[in-house]
Parts: sequence; structure tokens; C-alpha cells
Amino acid sequence: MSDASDLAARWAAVYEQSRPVLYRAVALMVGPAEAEEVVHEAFERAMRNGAFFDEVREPVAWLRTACARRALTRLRRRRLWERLRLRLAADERSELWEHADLAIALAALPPRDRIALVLRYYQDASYDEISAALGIASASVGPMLTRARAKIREALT
Amino acid sequence: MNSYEDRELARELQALAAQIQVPSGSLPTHRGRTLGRAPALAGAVAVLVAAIAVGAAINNLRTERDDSSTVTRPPASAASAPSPSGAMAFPDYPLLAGTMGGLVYRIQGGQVTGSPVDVCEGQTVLALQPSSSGRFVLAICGGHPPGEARAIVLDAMTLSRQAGPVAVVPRSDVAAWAPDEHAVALLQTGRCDPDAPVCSVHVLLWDLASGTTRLIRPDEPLTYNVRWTVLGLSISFPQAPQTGTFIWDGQTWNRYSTHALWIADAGGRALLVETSTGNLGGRVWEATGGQEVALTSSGTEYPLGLDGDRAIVWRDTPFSNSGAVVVYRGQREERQVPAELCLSAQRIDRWLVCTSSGSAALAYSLDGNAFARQAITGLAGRFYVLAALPRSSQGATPAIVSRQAAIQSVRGLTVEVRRVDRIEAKLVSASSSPAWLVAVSGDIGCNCIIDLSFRSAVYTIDAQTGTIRDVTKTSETWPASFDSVADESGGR
Repeated sequence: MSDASDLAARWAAVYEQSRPVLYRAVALMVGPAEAEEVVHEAFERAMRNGAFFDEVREPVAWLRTACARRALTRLRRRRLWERLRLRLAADERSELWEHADLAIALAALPPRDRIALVLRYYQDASYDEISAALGIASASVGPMLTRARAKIREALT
Repeated sequence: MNSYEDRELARELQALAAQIQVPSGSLPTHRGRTLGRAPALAGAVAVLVAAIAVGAAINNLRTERDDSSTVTRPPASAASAPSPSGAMAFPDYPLLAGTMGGLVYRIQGGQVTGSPVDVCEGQTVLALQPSSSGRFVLAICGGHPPGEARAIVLDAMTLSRQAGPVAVVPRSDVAAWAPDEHAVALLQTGRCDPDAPVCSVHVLLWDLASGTTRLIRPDEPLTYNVRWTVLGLSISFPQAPQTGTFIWDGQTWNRYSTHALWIADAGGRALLVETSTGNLGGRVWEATGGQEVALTSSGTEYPLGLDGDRAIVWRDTPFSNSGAVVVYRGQREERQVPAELCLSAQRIDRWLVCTSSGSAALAYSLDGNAFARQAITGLAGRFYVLAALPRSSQGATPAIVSRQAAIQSVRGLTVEVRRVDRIEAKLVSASSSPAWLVAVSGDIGCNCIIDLSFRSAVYTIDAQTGTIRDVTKTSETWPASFDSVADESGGR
């Protein structure tokens, strides 16, 4: 097998293994409408680096962080449109999702809180990973998660 | 993740995530192109988000800002003219203000007059567009809460319903008056393919006299920015291959620009906006004689008007309730006038009346190069949209119901007027009380003991009250006497 086909096979394996979880995580962060694009961008970025598998010890963790960063950028960029998106998303969820209350509460969180929560509780990311993804001090992750949990709890009660 | 609460939240999130269906996708290639469906979907979704959001987002933007308690002023260096100080008197135009609660208020001299009318029945008044004469106002209702929206034509004086409702896409940029006031172009939701990321959109012409709609451009996604300028009826698309604006010549659609047309003047000059931002504003171009030059060097601007060789735009200060009017002459920035939010404006005489959300009315004087501001008393909370009516629309026809209303009152006799093949109305005022004569052909029944069928009828309608005073039914296919009556409506 050539280097190129070997590389392609490795990427295909990573893609197949990690994409569903990445997609779902990003969907929780930014909504299903943009999840595909975010995941796609993360893979594209990784694959532009020909030495990716030599340089990155945990490809899936790298992709998880890359997706979270992109999701955060998008959420910041679309702050002004957030209300509309929430309404649209909530409308879809009310019919499609059993856990609509949680979905709506999650969508109502500030972007960083939402991403931290998904990284921690859906993707089981470490505090260090979360701090790297969000560009914040590791010591800030715990308080952020506590605050996000409190908001979720308040929204669900 | 040790606590019970943590585990519970994790479990809930897992359950929620499990309900998210993961669409099929393909691994990107090393050249950055994908092998399968992903790019089309991603691209379409990106544009879809913009397109879905464009109309409502501009209102959203207003709402967002309305809720903000922080008012950021533009940098001092940006100001080359005084901020609105109230020194300039606000023009004495009657105003209409629509709210998120569906109410429309009439305002004169800064004071609400009469009771508000629940035009949108609880839904947001997304847009209020006066017709060219100011006799009628097109209201777009909906969007909050989400769902289908409706277009309604109102009498500008009484705010009574003259035509509609007709379903439209729930945004503010989905309808435009024909210059002759006889029709409205609108966007309606079309086919919804479950595999497509977005429903398609129909472009329709709504004939107000007959109440019928005609499909003039079917089933295309992401259509937005309906305008009816001196250049004609136009629509825009944010996505290749038809990115930009198309103008309808009555039979075909011709590409006008790769940007979105917003404003045009009688000389053919136009202000355009990049399409990637939808109707949220963006980089502005000026088109003259087939040439397009960029005005905006950076940031986000919204075209407000054209005046001679000047272009007037709103330069936005993001995340604030302020910005500045910028006046361009050619590509040169001639003037900046900081002000409260004015994302859109309606040209009326020598004024640009701001139509975006607020609690006070703002108007930019094209002669004075300054804003006039007028507080509004009697309005509960902020308005969502504002519209100014020309002075001539007031008092000239104080008690005449519209042609559309007269026709509608006959169409509303559904038991008696069982089928309408043709319907026309003429205003007659030979006597002291003007009346509409409404001729109708089709299947007209008889409110009598035996069921008779007539082929046409002429209804006489009190033009001041809208009530039916008389009817003459015939077996003619069309009442010949009607054709010999002169119409004194003057296009009303």
C-alpha cells in the first residue's frame, strides 16, 4: 500500500469512528443546521497537514477541540441572530426531540458555557482540553461548568 | 464526573444527542473538496441560515438592541456633524407604528391618536409598507411566534382590512407594492422536499382587485429581498449560480447585478448590498450606468436613500443602539451624522424617515443634513416598525372606502355570489353620497323562495360606509350598462 493510500485509509477510519459523536456534539453546540459544516471544516483543516498523524497524538481529541473552537467562533459571530435561531431550533425540537426542555435550556446558555458543558458531559473532555478549546485558564473551567449546570437546572425546574 | 448530578446530566445529554440523526457525509479530499454530499449540504445550509434569517434577523437585530441597556456612541472621531439634538423640527407626517404584539398605532404630531388596531392578531408586525399614494398600507404579520406569516392590505386612514390575508414567507423583506398600487409582489413558501435543507419559494403577484395570485417564478430556494423600484420588480439570491439580483420585465427575469438591489432612483442609479449577508446590510455598492463601485471600505452599512449624486447609508456600530448616517458623493465620504439606530428608511419628500425599531421617530433631512427626533407619547413600549404617510393621503379622501374593500364586500357574499368570473368596480359621485358600483359575472344566486341563478349583477355600495345599498341582477353575461358608467375614482 502506498503512503498516500495508507494515509487515506487512516483518515477514513478516523472519520468513520469519530464523525457521529463529533456531529452530535457540534449539533448540541450550534444546532444540527450547522453541525455538518463545522465537522467538515475541522476535518478539512486536519487533512491539510500531511504530517498530522505524526504530529498529533490524539487525532480525535484534536478534532474535538477543533470542532469546539469553530463552534464557539460561529456562536460569537451569530450573536445577533441567536434569538431567531433559538426560535427556529426550538420549533423543530418540540416535535422531533423527546428531551426538548434540555435542548432548549442548552441552546439558551451563553456560547462558552454551552460548549464547555457539551465537551465535558457529552464528550467527556478533560478540564485541560476544555480550557484549550475555549482559550481560558484551566482553573476557570470548573466554575464555568458549575455555573452552566446551575443554569440548566434552573431552566429545567 | 463523580457526583450524581454530573452523571445525571451526562446521561441526559447522551440521550439527547442520541436523538440527533447524523446525516451521511463524506471525508474531505486533501484538496479541500469533498467526495460526496457534504459540501453542497454545508453550503446550502450556510446560505439557508442566512436566507432564513435575513428578514427576521433585521428585526431580530432590532429586538436584540431594544433589549440592550447599553448605548454605545460611535467614536468621537467619526462624527463630523452634530448628533440629533432636536433642533430640527420633525416633519408633520402622519405615522403608523407596528409592535411585536401585533398592534398598529396611528401617530400625529408625536401623539398617538385613537385606539391601536390589532392588525396582526397577536403576531409581530414585521413590516408596514405604504403604497405609492399612501392610501394603503401593506402589513406583514408573523414570525414571532414562528410559523407562516400573512400579508394584509389596510386602508391607511382607518386601518381596516382591504385585502388579504395572503400567506407569505415569515420575514419582512417578502413583499413589495407595485407602483400603481394594483398589485403586490410577494414570496410564498413553495415545495418542501424532506431531503432538501430548505423549502423552495414561489414569487407571486397578488392582484388586489380580483384577490387572485399569479405565480411568476416558482420553486426556488433562498429567494429574498423583494423590491419594486423604478427598475422594476426585483428579487435577489444569495447563492451561486444565480447570486445577485434579477429584474422581471413582465415575462422574463433578467440578471441585473451580482449584488442585492435595495434602492434605485429615476435616473437608474442604484444602491446595492453584498448578498452574503442577506438583508442585514453589508458592503454597499453604487451602480451608475452599468458600472458598480464599492462605497463601503469596511464594516456594515445599510442603504437609506439616493439624493442627486449623493448616496446616504447607515453605518452600523455592532451590538449597540447607534451608528451614523454616512453621506457619500461618489466614493468620497462627505459627511457623517451619528444617531440612534436607523437600519432602514422610507423616502418621503426631502426626508428619510427611519423605519426601524425604536421608541422615538427619527427623520434625516436631506436639505438640513441633520436628524429630527420626535418622542412619541401614548405608545406602550417600543415600536417594531414605523411607516410615514404622505400628507396628501390625509383628508383628501377621508371617508371613501377603497376599491378593494368594495370588491371584497361583494366577494364576501359567498352564499349569493357563488362563482366569480369577472369583477370590476367604479366610483360614482353624482349624488351627494358617493357610491361604488361593483359589477360581477359568474353564478349569482337569489335570496328568494325558489332558487334562481343569474349570470351577472351590479351592486351599489355606499362609498363612505361600505354597506351594500342595492343590487340589480341580470341574465346578461356582463351588465352592459356598467361599461358606459364613468369611473371617478381616479385610480383609488
